[in-house]
Amino acid sequence: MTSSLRPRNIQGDRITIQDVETETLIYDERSHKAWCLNRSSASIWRLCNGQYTVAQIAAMATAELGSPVSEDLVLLTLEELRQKELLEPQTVELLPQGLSRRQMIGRAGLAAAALLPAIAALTAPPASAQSGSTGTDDRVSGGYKEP
Amino acid sequence: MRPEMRPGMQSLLNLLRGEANIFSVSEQEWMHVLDLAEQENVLPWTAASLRSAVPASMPRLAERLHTIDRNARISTFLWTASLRGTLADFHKRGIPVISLKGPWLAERLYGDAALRSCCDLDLLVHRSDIAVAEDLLTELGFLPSGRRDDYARPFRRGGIKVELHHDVENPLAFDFDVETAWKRACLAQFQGAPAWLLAPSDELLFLCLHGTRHRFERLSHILDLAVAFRNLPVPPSAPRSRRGSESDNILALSLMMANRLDPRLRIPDNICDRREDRRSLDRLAGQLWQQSLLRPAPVLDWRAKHDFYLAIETRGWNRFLRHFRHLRILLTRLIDADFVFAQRLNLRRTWQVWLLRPIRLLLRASPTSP
Repeated sequence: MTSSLRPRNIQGDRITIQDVETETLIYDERSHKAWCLNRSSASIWRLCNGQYTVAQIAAMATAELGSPVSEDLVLLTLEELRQKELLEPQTVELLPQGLSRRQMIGRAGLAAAALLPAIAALTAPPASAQSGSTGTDDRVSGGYKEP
Repeated sequence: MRPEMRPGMQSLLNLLRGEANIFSVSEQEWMHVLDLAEQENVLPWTAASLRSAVPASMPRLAERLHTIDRNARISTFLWTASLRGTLADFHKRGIPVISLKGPWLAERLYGDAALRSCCDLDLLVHRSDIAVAEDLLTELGFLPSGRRDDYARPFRRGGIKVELHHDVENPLAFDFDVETAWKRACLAQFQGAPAWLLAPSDELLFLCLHGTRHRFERLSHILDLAVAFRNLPVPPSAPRSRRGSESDNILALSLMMANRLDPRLRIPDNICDRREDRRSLDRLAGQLWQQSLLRPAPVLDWRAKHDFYLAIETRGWNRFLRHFRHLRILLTRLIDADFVFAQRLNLRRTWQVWLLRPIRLLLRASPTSP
């Protein structure tokens, strides 16, 4: 089943990508969502170009990360990427059920935990945390606030 | 006896001036300096200034600086990508838009958008485009998060706040000829998205107005001005012939504030027409500077703001005009406190709020009371 699966990541000029140290940030202007991918999920996401199979992605990710990446790990990552709409949906319609996180750690041990995909949603900090302003209610009167 | 500065303030100033000796201060004290920098909204710039010099003997400081840098880069990515996308959509829709402050200003003035904190995106459109711009923002998933006032309306999409302006500051409080500024604006590109920028002299005046409106209450306002006066190719005397003395005084006061942070900034001899005006503004700048060094910015009531705006006006006619402006605002504008007061009585219609306003003013109801 996975031999015919050739996932493709979302691409185009509405996608902004930036690396911050080992993490990769992705902003999708179409959905206005932003994500922070850890190293393994970013590596797998980049390899999803619509040409490679799951086995090929696993092999290339292994070489890139310097740690063994199984097909199950790739499938788990693809499932998370699919849920976050970071893959073209038609290319992962037939994504088979892989191992769960718990099963993955049980099988490969805690060493595999470092490679597990981590995809966090990015949100702007609340304005009050960074703001230099005294709020918006002083604007109507040009900066005047009632005592 | 001279009142003492806030702990860490002298080290913070030295750092912002590029005169800090990192070994002269303990690791613990640098931690306090970073706390202070956060309060003053200059954390990313402060951390970047420290990072290049932090020694191996201060591992906790190095780790904290690393975290600050990472968080600033992630936050900046989000704001930058949101601005780029929004500007691209305005361009596609054919709505001219100017980005005020935000990551674009940080990128141009500070050389890196991650060196300046951002808490919202300020977009300026023509007054005639307000309706289409609001429609577009709604299509893009932004929802109005407040009423439109005399110059802007806030929108929000998740944690991203956009203020849609049709003037840069409240026209009732300050003179800024926004239509002429539009004529001088230049088309540029922000990360591939075409958008307009204020001409340097207008941008400088806008930053001065912004700092004044906040009474230079945080070091971030003064740092912005110091960097702007250093980088924008506009001598402070250039706009003087075009604008009235209110703008001249605001420019002069802003330069005096920036000079206190960065003494290398020169204040031209002819910054004010009259020597007594200069003395008066210099004294005001000195008072503001001292206050900012001694204690955190207070929340100012309207009387304090009014007194401050009055103090900037040094001449008879302009002081009279400022009184008139103040009276006009008091008589013709409702503010949030009026609506809050009316809501306590379950009254929400505007005419009801107007009727209750004199009562509130008499009772001096606090705007922050539930």
